[in-house]
Amino acid sequence: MTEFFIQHGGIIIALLGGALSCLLPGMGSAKAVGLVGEAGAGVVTEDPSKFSKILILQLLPATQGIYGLLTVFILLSRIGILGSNAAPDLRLGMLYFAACLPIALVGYFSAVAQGKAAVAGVGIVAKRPDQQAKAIMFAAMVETYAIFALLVSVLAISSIK
Amino acid sequence: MAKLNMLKIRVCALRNDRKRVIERMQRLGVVEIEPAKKLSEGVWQEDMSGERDGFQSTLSALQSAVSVLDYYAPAKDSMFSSYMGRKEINGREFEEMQQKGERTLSSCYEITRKKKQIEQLAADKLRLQLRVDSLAPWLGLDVKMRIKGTKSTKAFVGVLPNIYTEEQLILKAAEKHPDLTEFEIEVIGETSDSTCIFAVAANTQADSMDSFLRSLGITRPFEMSKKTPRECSKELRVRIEKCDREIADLEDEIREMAELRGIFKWQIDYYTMRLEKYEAIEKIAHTKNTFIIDGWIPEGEFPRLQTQLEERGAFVETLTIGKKENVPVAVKNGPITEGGEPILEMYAMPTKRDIDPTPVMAIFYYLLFGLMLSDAAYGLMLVLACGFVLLKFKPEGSNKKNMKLFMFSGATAVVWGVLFGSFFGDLPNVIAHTFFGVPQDVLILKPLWFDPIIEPTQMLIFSLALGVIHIFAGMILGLITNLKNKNYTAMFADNIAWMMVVGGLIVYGVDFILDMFGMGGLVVIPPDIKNVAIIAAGVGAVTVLLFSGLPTKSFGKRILKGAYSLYGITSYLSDILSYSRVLALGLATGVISQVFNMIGTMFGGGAAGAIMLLIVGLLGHALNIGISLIGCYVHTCRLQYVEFFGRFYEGGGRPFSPFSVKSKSFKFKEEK
Repeated sequence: MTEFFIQHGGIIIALLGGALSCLLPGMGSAKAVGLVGEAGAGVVTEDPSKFSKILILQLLPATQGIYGLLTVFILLSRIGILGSNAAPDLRLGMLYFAACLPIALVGYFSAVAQGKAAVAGVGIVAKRPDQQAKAIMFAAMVETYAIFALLVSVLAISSIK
Repeated sequence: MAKLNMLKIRVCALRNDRKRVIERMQRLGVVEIEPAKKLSEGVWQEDMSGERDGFQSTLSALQSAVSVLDYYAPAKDSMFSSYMGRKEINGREFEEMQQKGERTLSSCYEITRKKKQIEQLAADKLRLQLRVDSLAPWLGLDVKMRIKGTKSTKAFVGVLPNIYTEEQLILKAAEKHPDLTEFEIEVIGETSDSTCIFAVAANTQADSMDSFLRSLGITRPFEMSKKTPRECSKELRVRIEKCDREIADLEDEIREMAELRGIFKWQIDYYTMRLEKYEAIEKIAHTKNTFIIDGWIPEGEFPRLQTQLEERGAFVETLTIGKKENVPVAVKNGPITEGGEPILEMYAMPTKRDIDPTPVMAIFYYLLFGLMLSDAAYGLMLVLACGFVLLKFKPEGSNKKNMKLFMFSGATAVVWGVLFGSFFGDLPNVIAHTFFGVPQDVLILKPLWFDPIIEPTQMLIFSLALGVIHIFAGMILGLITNLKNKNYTAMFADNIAWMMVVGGLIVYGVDFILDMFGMGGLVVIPPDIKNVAIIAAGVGAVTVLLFSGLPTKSFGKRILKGAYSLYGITSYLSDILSYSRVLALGLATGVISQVFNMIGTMFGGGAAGAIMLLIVGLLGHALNIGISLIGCYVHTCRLQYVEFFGRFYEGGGRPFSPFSVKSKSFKFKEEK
């Protein structure tokens, strides 16, 4: 058992990290995009011409899921599941796992928070469609933190030696 | 900086010339009419609500006629039709259209009436269909439904709740009414929860039959006709067919009127124009024989307006603008930078003391958007699509400006894509490797500069450096704003002092920061310059501390205020870090396109592989372009609004909205 762990533990733990960084932001984005969709559907019932404006708001919290995906793909090629790199040893695997944590956690929570801001933005678009830009900005503010987390994760994964 | 200088004007003329003067003013479309206020005795505003209501109702009739036509005979519009410019017509065509329009106005009422008839017929048809459906279980009955019986028998036709077979009914009858002997019960048909029956009993036993059926809860059928159900159903079907025919005829009649759509659209424009005119008339002041219009006009347009209105018997003068007056704001920019105007309008128009930031903002917008997209192929597609729309459809107003925005942003994306070696991601390399057996380490497409996916830290540093330049541009615009407003203390204490602090600290610390990212030695700052830089930063900080609290008189309070604004250094730090999103979005676009390329080539080379790559590539890259464009748009806006405008721009001016011909489909050619 111990031998198995020493031999394969690295890639298992690294992949676990990768899975988390796809799972959590994906879940967060799905939840958030769904929330905005529900709110948006109500507005579109009243005024179908607002569809495209709402769609932009709905897509805003979708990016965390993409950031998670991005991290995983970079990780997969680093740990040799995709491409031809060698599998990591236990130490490297744990490092990769740690590197995945920022985007995994911040991705989830920022997606949900951004979704809520976007839902509130749907209210702006419903009442004052000319103020859509402000609604977008409120939601986009939240994304900064997902971007920081993504950067830390990606920079760490691509620099771990 | 192209904020237009506004003049306040007053136009006076005789009432007899009102139509000519106001119509000319509307055609010129350069004056914003200020509603008359504080009227003295003998001056009044006219109530035009009667006329306006008339135009409104004509307009809504025309609009519903067009929507009916669009439903039954959709116009063959291309997907770009909403970007299409208006059709130009000259004075003679205008007259023709007006005459034609008057003749065809009644047709729009006819179309809406026909539409109503169709709706009525459709409702009738539905009702008939329901009756046919309710007859379906009765089709087995071959006598008329209202049959009373024969000389010696009595007949019962009805519906029993629940499902019964004939045997069950006979047994029940025997059980409950043993006296009932001379009778017949037939199940004609059944629905999901009821049974349709026909029963006959001898006259003598009719009463007990009646009470037996009542005990089962018999009800009369929905349809009681004097004919057999089969005949009845047939007759109803004939009526349904008749409805269908009538509907089809009416629809054909509507389709035949489809050619009127153009005239209707013209009339919508025409009546909108007249409505606007009467709304304008309501705003202006009248006396018994004259009228007075107060309004705003961009300075450059004034001579043209003056000559044209004075030719028509009006007197035009300029007024001095009071200090508290809310002057409307209009901006005008060159053919390249006007793409930034929609972005500015979304935020806020400049106020009296702001300068127009569009030219500088637009250039940074194009650069940052392109850097986030950073793919030569995506950029090229954007340039071609927007260029095509611009040339082919000649859009106007904000449509045109938005197209320019994306076209120029796409153009910089092409440049960045070449520098970073990205054309649909790494598609050329992938194709060379999969289909032409080029070894994986030989690259067909090499970045001219570096590959951000392989060297993200270098890209991060570049993004942040660009951010520093952007923020400094903002500070310089702030300096110009303060200079223009003769606000010299703010210019020194806010703009120059902060430039010294931020600039000094960056020069002092840049090699240290680079070293932190493992790129030490990229920039070497001589110690002398470092010393100068840190001294400059110190002087700047002291200036902020001492003077940014002005005009507060008390020294203590002023220092506290200064200390607080010195704390604003954190906002510079976070603003610069915020530009790391440029790297993140660039990576997102790049990595995802590589992923799709990889999935596309999983099936290997050969014809099948090529087809798979084509399918996956088309779908994947279309998706990636869509997501990336929204991301780039939103985040470039954010960098402009928060990081850039935050340094100097106040915003909140009232946009200039001139009294003009706000037509949708036609443009009136201006006779000189």
